[in-house]
Amino acid sequence: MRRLIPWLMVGAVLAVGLAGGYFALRGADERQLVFGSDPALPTLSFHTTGLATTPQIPFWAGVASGEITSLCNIEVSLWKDLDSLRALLMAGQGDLWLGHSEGFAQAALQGAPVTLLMVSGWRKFFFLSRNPADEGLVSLAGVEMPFTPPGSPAVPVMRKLETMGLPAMRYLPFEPRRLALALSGGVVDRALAPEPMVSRLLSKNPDLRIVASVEDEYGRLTGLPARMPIAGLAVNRETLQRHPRLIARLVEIMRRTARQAAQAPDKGLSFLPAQFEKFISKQEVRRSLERDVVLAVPGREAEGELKQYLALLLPGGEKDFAALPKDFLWP
Amino acid sequence: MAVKAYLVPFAFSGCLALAAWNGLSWLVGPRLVPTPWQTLGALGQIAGEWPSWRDMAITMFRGGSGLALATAAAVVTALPAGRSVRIMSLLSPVVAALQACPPILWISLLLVWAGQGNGVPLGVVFASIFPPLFANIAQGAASLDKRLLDMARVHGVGRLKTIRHIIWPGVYPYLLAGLSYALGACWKITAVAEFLGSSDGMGSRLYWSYRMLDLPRLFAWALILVIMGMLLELLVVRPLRGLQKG
Repeated sequence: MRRLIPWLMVGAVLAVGLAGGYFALRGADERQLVFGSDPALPTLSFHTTGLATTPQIPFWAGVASGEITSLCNIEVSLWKDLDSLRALLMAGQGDLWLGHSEGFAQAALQGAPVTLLMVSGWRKFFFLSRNPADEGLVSLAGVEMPFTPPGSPAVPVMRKLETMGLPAMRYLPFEPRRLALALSGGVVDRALAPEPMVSRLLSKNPDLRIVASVEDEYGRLTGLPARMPIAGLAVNRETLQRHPRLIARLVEIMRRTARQAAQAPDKGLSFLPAQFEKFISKQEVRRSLERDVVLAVPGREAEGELKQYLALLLPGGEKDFAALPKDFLWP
Repeated sequence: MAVKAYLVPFAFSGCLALAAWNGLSWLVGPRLVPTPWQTLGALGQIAGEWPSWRDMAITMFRGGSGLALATAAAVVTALPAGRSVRIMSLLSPVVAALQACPPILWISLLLVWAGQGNGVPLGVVFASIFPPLFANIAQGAASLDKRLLDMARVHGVGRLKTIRHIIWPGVYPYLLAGLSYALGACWKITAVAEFLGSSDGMGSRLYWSYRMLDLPRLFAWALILVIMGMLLELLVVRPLRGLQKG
């Protein structure tokens, strides 16, 4: 009997493991958000994050209106951070991805099957401070500047803008929540953060104020509009080849819903899935829209702005942008 | 008496850990180190959520599958390697190379090759567990009494009978020794692989608790991992070791 016990325990572990196998291999259906269930339509997997707001409002507005789900069923998966998004892109896992245009470009340069459908994240990054002496970027010269999320494109943009005359700072990476804690605990007094986190920080720390906007400085120094093609929606090239009409229709819908949402931001934010509220509340999204814009521009139409922006971020600058595959931008 | 002797060390260690935890929480503040009560509350929440149980089962499946695959591959390759110097010399550089690769390398590569999902934890567990299992089983095969095998051959004993009565009893203690190490290790490796490269499983839950800085939940998931690891060690690994000695 004593000899039997360990094998019985192994058996019990195996039984639980088998149950786990059922769930692990069953994949999407139970773990993910699913929109639409028409077996006659193709099902596209959409990899996104609950922490993004304006870049995905046009998509969700299209889902809420039923226009997107009349074209395809959508399975939603949440990526964890920019590293896991990069892994998804490199592995060609999924059909649609929401993410940073720089990340899409880097992946495309490495041979990932990525086509940038549209740019939909334009104004995100703000410098915050509770130090009364901080008035504009000039006063921040040489200070330690905590930033979030680690890997944020705001930092390389700022470093490039330093070469065009902006004051240099020492940037320190923080995970979003850790920075929020550090700010509320008085461990740090300044931050470079994206919307909608900026709205959350401002509401939780009344003595905190906006000192400068990265996009304003970018616009001032480059002579372009005060916005950057930061984020957007990309498609797997194989999906694009399989469903070219569907994808074209998708962009058309999102472009229209973005215009509608821009006119009525309150309505726009109501389209974000309720499940995303555990990451960020609707009130915080609403406040972020005071500084952020809802605008969806197809990749090809934003080519000029993308070239300027990505040339700042990609290691090889304009040469890297020129080396991007011809079908990186849609259409 | 035996039960008491078994329980006293656990009670002592538990009390010590609890006192240290409470002290740390009091010293640093419950915002950074949640109290045992806060963690207990989070544990209660986790226990009440069906997806948490599903994620625990998924982690066990991934760890178990990686281990099963590694064991099967180790048996198939290590038995002939242990019996033949030539095969051993051919395979040992590959195994040594596998052993030299840190799990983080496999995680990075598998993330790029397979994306998120089952591939990363399964592959990492396999790559990390296979080399020690191979070494153990090959050692067992090498230590088999050649005279017994020769005798079996001379008397025309069938292959299956030879495996059952000569090879298996000789290799079994070595396999158990390898498995007892591998079982403990695969649990931890699976959690790390899920933390970095999967959107579900217990490691992923740990990641999200960290990302959202939900420290009571982070502590609760850590506690679950530790408790399950201990249960595995006490209820499976130690008895297996006992069998090996017996």
